[in-house]
Amino acid sequence: MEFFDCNILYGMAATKCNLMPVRDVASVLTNMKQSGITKALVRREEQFVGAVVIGNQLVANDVKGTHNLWGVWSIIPHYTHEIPEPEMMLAQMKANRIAAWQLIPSMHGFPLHYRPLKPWLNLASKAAIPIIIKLGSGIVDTELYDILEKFPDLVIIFSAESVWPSDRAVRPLLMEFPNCYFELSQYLTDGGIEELVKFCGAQKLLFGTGFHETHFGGIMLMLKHAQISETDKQLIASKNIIKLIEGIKYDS
Amino acid sequence: MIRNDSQLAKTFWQYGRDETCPIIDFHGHMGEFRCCFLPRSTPETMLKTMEQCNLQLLLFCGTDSLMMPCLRQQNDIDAVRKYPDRFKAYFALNANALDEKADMALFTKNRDVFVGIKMLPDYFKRPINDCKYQPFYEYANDQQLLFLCHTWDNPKSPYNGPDQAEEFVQKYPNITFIAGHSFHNNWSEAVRLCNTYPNLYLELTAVVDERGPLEMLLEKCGSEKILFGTDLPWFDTHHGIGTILSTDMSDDDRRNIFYRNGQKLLAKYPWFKNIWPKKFSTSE
Repeated sequence: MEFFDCNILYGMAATKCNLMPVRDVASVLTNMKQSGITKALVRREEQFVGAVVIGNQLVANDVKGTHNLWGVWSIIPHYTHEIPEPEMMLAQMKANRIAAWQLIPSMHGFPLHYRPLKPWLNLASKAAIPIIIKLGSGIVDTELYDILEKFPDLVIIFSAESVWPSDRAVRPLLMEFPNCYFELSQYLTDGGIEELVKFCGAQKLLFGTGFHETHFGGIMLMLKHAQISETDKQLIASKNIIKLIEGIKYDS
Repeated sequence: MIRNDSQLAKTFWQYGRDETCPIIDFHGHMGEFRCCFLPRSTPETMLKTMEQCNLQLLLFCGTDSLMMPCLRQQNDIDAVRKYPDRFKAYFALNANALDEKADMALFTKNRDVFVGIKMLPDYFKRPINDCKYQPFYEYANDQQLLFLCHTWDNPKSPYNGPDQAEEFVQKYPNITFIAGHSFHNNWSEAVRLCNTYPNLYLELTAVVDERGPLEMLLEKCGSEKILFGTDLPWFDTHHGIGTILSTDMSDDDRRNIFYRNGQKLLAKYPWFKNIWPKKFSTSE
């Protein structure tokens, strides 16, 4: 089974003390190899509490020379002209192996509302760019519902707020919006993967670990021995995210 | 594969279980809880998970026993009586709803069910050393029972932090105090208490969600006072196993955590020798 980790974080955190930090992309690759993770979507700590522009650039520098990593860029309202303009964005993403965006309004100082983000949401809908959102951390489900009501074609990869069993929050999003995908790093519920597959199909679930904050092995072993078909496991482990990345219309 | 240098990792990866490595989980629950959907929370569905992992014995306290004292812990008693080889319960103690006479009778009358006491001081807003608990502690101390206590210290807890636990273990040296969650986030105090008090053990629920804390506990305390726990049915047992297989330690350390430390603690219970495979008791 091939594992594509949709949620790897690394870098140097300025405002918290990681007991086992993974500070650079070389260490990420070493750890992935040791654990049998072949591909990953990666972000840096510096994108959170550091700076948007420099953080995005650091990720781009890291993934550019690799064959198995794809980067995530932070998106902020375009009115301040700090990140590439919407009409330049797809070309820049393609040139830098960027395969998703993330929205972190609480850290980056803007409201999560469709109006300040309108050009980005239009572009993401048109080009099928996945947007990563972590529930909690300043984002509540209702804000996401409002955006998805206005932009139902958005591809959203969301993860749960915490490891507390979250089906009551997760299932409505998966059922109401066909392009919402659930990334499993925070989903440890016993028997939960089996039940979610019955509920919405394996096509809506994405393997992610949350490394470097968490170990690879927990979610890997959970998925490996989930009581679902091998085909479904493979979809969750890698095929779903590969399909999403291949679906990005960089040249549109 | 999670790691190539571990025979246990190879076997668990391939089969999901290892016949040479039974597991004892010291921190389980059972039943419905107000804020979340738990797909496998009945004894029968939990047994399904336990079979998949070779989890031989779960020590638990039902969420309804903890949060609905009106039920008188009957669901836990029924589950243990139905599956005495696979489940043992902790007696839920809650000073907010304690009826000393009736609760003591319930506790002592069902000693085949209860291995000790369980408490959630932060949730109940009653400290570990609340005077209402004293008769139960004296009984547990006399009987040398276990006490699984929720311990969390982030932010600093006035109910179940290191200070309260230290006062307790000094006062009741015959009770095995199992620090559920290992004083989460206050790892240095967890280390100090573990190394100071022979009757204090560290338990891993929520500890292994993060890289680093277990590695630190192993480095400073060794593996012989660390107990496996998962909060089953909240969290998948394979997740807990996978994180321990991912953590840098020897397979001997892993066996200590998965079952050897637990079997030493439980050997004093008359029922244990009847349910625990002889090959593990005699060969260790």
